[in-house]
Amino acid sequence: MRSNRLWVLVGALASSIAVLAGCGASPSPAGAEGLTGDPLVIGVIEDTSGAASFYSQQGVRMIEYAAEQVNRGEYPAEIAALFGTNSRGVAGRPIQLVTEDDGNDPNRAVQAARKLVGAGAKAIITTSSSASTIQARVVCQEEEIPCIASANASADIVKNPNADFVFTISPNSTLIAAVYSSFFKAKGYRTVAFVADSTPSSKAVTDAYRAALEGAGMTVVAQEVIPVGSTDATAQVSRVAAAAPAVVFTTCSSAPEEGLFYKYAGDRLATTPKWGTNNLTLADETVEIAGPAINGAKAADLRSPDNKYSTEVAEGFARAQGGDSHLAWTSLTHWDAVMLLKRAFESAGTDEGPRVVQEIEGIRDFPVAHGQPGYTVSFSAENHNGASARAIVPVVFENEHTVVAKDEQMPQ
Amino acid sequence: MAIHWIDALSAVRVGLMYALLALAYFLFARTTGTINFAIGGYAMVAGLLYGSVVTRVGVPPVLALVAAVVVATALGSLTEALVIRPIAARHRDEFVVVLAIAALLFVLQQLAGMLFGRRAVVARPLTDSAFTVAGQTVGVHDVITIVLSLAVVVLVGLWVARGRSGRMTRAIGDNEDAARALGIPVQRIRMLTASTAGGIAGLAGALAAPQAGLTIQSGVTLSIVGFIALVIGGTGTAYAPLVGGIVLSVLEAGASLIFGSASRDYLMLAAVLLVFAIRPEGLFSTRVRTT
Repeated sequence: MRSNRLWVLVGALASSIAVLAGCGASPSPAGAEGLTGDPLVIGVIEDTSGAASFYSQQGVRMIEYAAEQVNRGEYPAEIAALFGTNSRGVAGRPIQLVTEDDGNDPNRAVQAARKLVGAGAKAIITTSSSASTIQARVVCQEEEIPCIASANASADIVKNPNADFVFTISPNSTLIAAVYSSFFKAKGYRTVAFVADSTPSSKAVTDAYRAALEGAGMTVVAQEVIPVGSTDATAQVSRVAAAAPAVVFTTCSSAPEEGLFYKYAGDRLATTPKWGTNNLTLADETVEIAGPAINGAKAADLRSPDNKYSTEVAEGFARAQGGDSHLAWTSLTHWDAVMLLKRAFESAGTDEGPRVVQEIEGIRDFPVAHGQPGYTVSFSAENHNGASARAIVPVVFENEHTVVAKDEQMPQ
Repeated sequence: MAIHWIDALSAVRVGLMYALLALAYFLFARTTGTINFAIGGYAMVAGLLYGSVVTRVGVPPVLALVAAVVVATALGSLTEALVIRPIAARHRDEFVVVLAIAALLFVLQQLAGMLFGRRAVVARPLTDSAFTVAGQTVGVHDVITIVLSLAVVVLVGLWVARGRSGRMTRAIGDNEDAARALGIPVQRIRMLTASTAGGIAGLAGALAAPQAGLTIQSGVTLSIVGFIALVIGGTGTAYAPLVGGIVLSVLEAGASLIFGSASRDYLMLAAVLLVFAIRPEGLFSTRVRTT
């Protein structure tokens, strides 16, 4: 009797370990009924608790939705033509996802990537921050598997060393900063104040924008940092107001701190134009904290309400999720990552990483769900960031929601 | 750089939040002799609870505030009953109790993650109303925060100085064995103080929740700022945490305003080291008559 109890205990323990060691793998690929091929395992690095969790969690749900749509063979018209009529799975193989949490900690990202490879991942999509991807890409390089940092903005991700197997889809900070430089110059802005948060990603993005704007002849009159976890940003607003910049530029990575700045900037910077990176439109939390004070703020978003492909993906995702109030542009780029991988693996006809990477490098004018209507991405062996300035959609907050800023013409 | 009155108002509001946390530390330390690093955990749980039930369930903010304070009060009592008392009874080494409390902070963090999720919870304020003074918008929630926090500090100060059970906390803090010999119900007073401390920390967390999103990591941050405010103020009187909280907040805001926010953490560290070096007992210490 006692021995039976012991075996039950050992069994329960073993089951628990098996479940925990499963890297968050789905028990069976969703939508894969009837597909007979071996699953194609795609690893996903997520952030469940750090500063990137604001967009990472929705991104993971979007990747799950995209994988399910691929397994079912159901696509919006814009991409269906590319895959043909009978294109369930990846060359008939169901996509199976495995996930690992890095907590937005670059040191944990390497370990997460290794666990995913250990779980059989043939490609990795990262939904955490740029700083995490820069560490995780080393594993992709060593293991020779493609790594897609769909939404990451750091230009350093695709710079060597260790960049042979990593790709980014959305415009990086260098490209957007160049667009902003020309745009601000054309508007006659000569001075700028930066507002960032204390995360490494925010610092990297701020540095990139600062270099570009200074290179374009602008003077940085203030650079303020809001520590993550702050409950007040009055001092930062005061310093920015005292510097009297022609334009304020927010480069936060963490949504609450960005919201906090706009909340306190309401009165004292009411007449100063305020622009944010595309992080500003990512999370509901920014608007919830800022409240009406966010109105009038502008950003270079990567999602257009006029883009039918975006709308179809967003509506399908909302139906699958039972209604999601706000779809971030980052999630659309994760959809694009899954579609790109399907195309590349099918063209390669093999799981071998170097061959798949070669196929991605050969992709031209691939229709994507983010950006302006009809926007496409193209890659090459020299260019692992497939984006162009046509991805950028200037938006303005009105009634605490974004609408296209028709009066702002950003360079294409 | 000219200091705007709105900067001063913000410093007072933030300082009072720090003061409430420091006051919770003070009450625990007063009767149990323990630095309860789980104080920030109670505030975090209360803040997340307030935000979750207001935003996700639609409970009226005032009711949510009461619920958050009640839960934090219960957490304070449970800490005394299930952690401090049994461990202190078995181990004479105070360090063991402090270690157990530090572990409790992480337990609270993980429990809060399971209950409220790991993303920031953004709460609606007690009221969305605001008014304008000299061209600056002041939220009514901010005014309530300042008035309520001050009221709590004053009431606790009066209770400790003049209330019957409040004076007993001083007796226990001064000499527990003597207090027992005098027939003071030590366990009951300790439980009362621990519950009050929990409730005060909960009030601080719930009032802070609408200012910015709270996450499960906020517990550690709140524990640290409350502790620093206690270190600066000392434990000499129940008003010492108030002074500590305001001094800390003014230092923070002043450092950010004058030298920029990047310098804030360095200056805070320097301030704490200075207090430890020059006046380790804090600005207000208990005077002991030696003659």
